[in-house]
Amino acid sequence: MPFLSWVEGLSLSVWIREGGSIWGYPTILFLHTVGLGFLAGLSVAMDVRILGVSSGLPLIPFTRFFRFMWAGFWVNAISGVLLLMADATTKAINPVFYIKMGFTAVAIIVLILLRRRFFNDPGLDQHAVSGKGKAMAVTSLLCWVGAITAGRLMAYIGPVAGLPGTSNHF
Amino acid sequence: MYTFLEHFSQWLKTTGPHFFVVQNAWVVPACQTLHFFGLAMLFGMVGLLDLRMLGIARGLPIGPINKAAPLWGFAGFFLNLITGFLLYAGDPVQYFHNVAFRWKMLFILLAGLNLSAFLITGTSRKVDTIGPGEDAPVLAKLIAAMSLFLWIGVMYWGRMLPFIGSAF
Repeated sequence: MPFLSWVEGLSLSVWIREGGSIWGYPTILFLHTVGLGFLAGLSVAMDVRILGVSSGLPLIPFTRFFRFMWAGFWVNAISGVLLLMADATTKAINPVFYIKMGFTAVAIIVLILLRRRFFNDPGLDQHAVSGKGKAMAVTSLLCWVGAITAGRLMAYIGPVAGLPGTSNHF
Repeated sequence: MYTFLEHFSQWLKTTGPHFFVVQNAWVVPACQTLHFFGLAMLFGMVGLLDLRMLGIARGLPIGPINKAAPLWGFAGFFLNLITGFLLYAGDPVQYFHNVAFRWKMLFILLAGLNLSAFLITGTSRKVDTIGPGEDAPVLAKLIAAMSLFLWIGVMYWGRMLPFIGSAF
């Protein structure tokens, strides 16, 4: 596709992919991992609390962690776009990439719903967690499992991007 | 120690785990995927405890987090120990000579020492009594900041395996 070739040929994309700089592909990939740690890591820890682990912990204060999750999300949105640009002709036609985006989109929608519909209840810690709350936590957990799995398998299944001289199973 | 580890890595190439990894193409991607699950579990729990000790979400008592952290965090750690061992067994000599891999192991060791300091100095026991709204002692904050730095460092060196080192 001409559009994808054009994106991949942009000087920014070429620099990320072939510049050989530690600040290009390697650092962007590292930032994508740290973002995963904050976004999926904290989200999953919150989900298992909602599902009943450590029920001695009040739920309301967990809202304070949302800004760290959103920070992780934006780091990954930006680093993800850069990684996609660098390998547009392969990643953007890989079905596994769209599976990853599907899982991620649902995980993010559930996170927003948790914040707006679940955590907005001031009496949250006075009663048992609702079935809806638990359903959202389970959905969130499953979506992160799906997103991480699909993300990892993008290096193995479908059209796989390749840095020159490597098999690129990053 | 150096020669011992080198011999160990060479010997590993003659063992069952090595052949299991190299003869089944699905093992490496599966291990890498599980390695990222472990990462999210470990870093999520470590992050929760460390951020709370640093003063984020003060409404949470620290005791219950500190009680849940070992089970959940170590589950992630052991998952990564097993999958990491299999990935190492698949290409032991490469990993042995990989600079980024040595840094990663050093950072994991330092994170372990940091955890030992948390336990030995009695900081862990002290923070157990810290209730909602209360501040953690300075030493707990130092250990928390060090822990975040070291685990992010572990991720850094893991990601640098193919770039600074020569994995894959």
